[in-house]
Amino acid sequence: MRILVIEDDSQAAAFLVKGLREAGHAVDHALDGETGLNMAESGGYDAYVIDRMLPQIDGLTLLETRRKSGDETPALFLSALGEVDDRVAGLQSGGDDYLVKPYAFSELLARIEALGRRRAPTNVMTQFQVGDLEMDILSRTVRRAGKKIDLQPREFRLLEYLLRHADQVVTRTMLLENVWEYHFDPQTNVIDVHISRLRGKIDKEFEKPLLKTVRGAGYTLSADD
Amino acid sequence: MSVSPKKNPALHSTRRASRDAAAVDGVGVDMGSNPGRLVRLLRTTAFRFTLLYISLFLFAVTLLIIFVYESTFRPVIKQIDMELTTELAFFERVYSERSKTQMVQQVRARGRRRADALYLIVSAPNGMVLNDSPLKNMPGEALNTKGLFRFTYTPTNFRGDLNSSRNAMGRIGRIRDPRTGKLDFVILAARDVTALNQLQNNARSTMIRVGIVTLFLGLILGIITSRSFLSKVDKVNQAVAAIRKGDLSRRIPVEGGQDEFDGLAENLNGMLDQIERLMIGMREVSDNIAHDLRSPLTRIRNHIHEAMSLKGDDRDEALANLSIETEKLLETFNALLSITRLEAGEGAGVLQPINIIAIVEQVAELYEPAAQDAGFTLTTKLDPVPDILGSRELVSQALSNLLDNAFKYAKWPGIVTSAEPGKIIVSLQKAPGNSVRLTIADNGPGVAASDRPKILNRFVRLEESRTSQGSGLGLSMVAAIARAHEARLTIADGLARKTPENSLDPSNGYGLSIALSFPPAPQKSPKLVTKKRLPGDSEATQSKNFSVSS
Repeated sequence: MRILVIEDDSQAAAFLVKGLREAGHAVDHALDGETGLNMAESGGYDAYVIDRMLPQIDGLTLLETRRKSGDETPALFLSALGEVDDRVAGLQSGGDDYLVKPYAFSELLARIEALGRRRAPTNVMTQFQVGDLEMDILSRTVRRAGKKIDLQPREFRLLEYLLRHADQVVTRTMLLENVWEYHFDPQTNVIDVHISRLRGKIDKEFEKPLLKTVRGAGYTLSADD
Repeated sequence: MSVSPKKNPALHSTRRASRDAAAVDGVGVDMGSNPGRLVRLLRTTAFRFTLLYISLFLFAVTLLIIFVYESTFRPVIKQIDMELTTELAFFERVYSERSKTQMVQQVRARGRRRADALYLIVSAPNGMVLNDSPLKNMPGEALNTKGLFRFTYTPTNFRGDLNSSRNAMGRIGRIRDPRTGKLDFVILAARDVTALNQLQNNARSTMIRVGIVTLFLGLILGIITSRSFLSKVDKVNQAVAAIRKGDLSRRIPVEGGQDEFDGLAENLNGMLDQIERLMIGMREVSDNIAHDLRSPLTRIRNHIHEAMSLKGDDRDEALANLSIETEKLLETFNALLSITRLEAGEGAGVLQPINIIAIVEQVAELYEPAAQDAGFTLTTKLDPVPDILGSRELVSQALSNLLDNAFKYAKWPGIVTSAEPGKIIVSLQKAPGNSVRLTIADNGPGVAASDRPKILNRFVRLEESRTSQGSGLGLSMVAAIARAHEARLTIADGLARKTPENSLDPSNGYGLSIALSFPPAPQKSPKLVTKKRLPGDSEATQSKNFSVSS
């Protein structure tokens, strides 16, 4: 992916750029809002990572400007402001995701990759398949190797999210935000327990595990080893 | 209550500050000479009001006096004028209808009849006075005068004091010969008005005296009210100056007179209470930060030193520990920031009517598997309750923190087999005042009643639990969320449980329950549970009637 990082803290930006490049992405970096806007206008990016508070043009205005001129490139906000209202403002200005500082790099990477994949029309898809695991949204059925698996509604949603982001790393925070719609981190490992239950249903009786733990980051649903 | 002005050195500087708006720091500035207490007094609003009042009052009194004066004396003078006119007309008629002699007789007779009536009849051709009058001759004012005129005369006979001149008012009548039209007589008809004049003079001087006394009393009154006004303001100033110097517990004295100054003092005191509370909170936070953030920072530093001295896998492990430690510190920091923002009245966002039943169900559903793993049975008892005004996110977080807390602390240390399993009940009930009570009760070791108020404070972890993980901010966050929702937080005994036999403190064998009583949402607003759909969210329906049971 070609990613534009607009971040005024040069140290944080250097860390970010280095990490993203190591993950195999092409990264450009702007230190202020105006440069960032100019670079975004030149086009050709697959995702933006924008700090909310920038010199000259702040992040919200910058993205609003791009959205008004028809730029649909997915954008992720980075911000030290993490309350509900701040998030809402970020998403209303056209942001696709909102990450509160301080964040773990693995979290950011997972979210950027999820954003890049968004361009593929998974939203309108009603059938998913990973390995021999199949899901049909309309009939609300899940099968593995042709065998029907009964899931509770929340487990169904959890699996659906994992399937939509198959072969990507999905963090616990992403699951909490997208499956349960909470923006706080419980101290108890609630997500892990839900995942292990889901695993018990879709992986336990089968030879090859699909739902894997990515150490220090989260989970991934993948047929690859 | 207040200190006498002379004894308090702060007072002068306070006064100075109030006089000189540009003096930002009025504390500790030397006054030099006394600024002139009178000048200051005269500048007070109260005094200015009094002055204005006195002027208006004086003006009104003057108008009244003039009115009374005029309405008393004008009719008398008018009466005199009428009498004199009538008399002159009578003399003229007697002259024309009868004879000259009869007229002179009439004049003389009238002169004798009334003591205050004065007449002088002069024969025009030779200027001879024809009657026997106290007036020696025609007063100078009589010449060329038409109508009523005043004059003074000195009586010539026994009537009155010979030495003093007297006041009179008169009218001149000119009697002409009806046939020739020649001037025949000039008659002066007059009244002695010395007594009346005296009365007028007395009235005038009384009025002036009344005016002066009014002015004087008004000034005294003004000074008195201004002084009491000033002393009240000074008390406020003194208190504020003391508070600015750092005596945060100082309050403005309330006199108890229920006047607007008391109202002001009470308001200011309320504000000061709030400021003091906030300051104490800040101090507490900084103290706690000093204590509780230093230790993780120290651990981090130790991990760094360790990592620097190690190689290979050991080094990696030390770095991993370092990362975990940093992560925890950041979490603590974030939690602290959220609490501070909530307590400052930010961060709660717009509160709207929310369906708390659904919120509790969702959180319980999220936690149920984890509860089972941790060895608890998580049960919900949800009565039908009205919507509350709140934030779904925050109420969820409060419940989540309370459940985290229960998972951590409702466990019996060294649990024995005979004990019952751990139990957590989340319930929703209608509470008095139409409020909604959310209760989380467990059957753990509980908290001693004396420790209960403490557990809401930041970073407080009771000694027994110091060793366990956690920032000590979970319940502070719950308390902050409760305040943001104007909800009442109560801590009570939890669920009864058979105390394990090896328990050290059987008195706490009743678990802990924490309840939040939310005020109900205003009835008129429609039920509104908006569910934000985040990007990447599917349209899959959500379970509505999920219930968790043991």
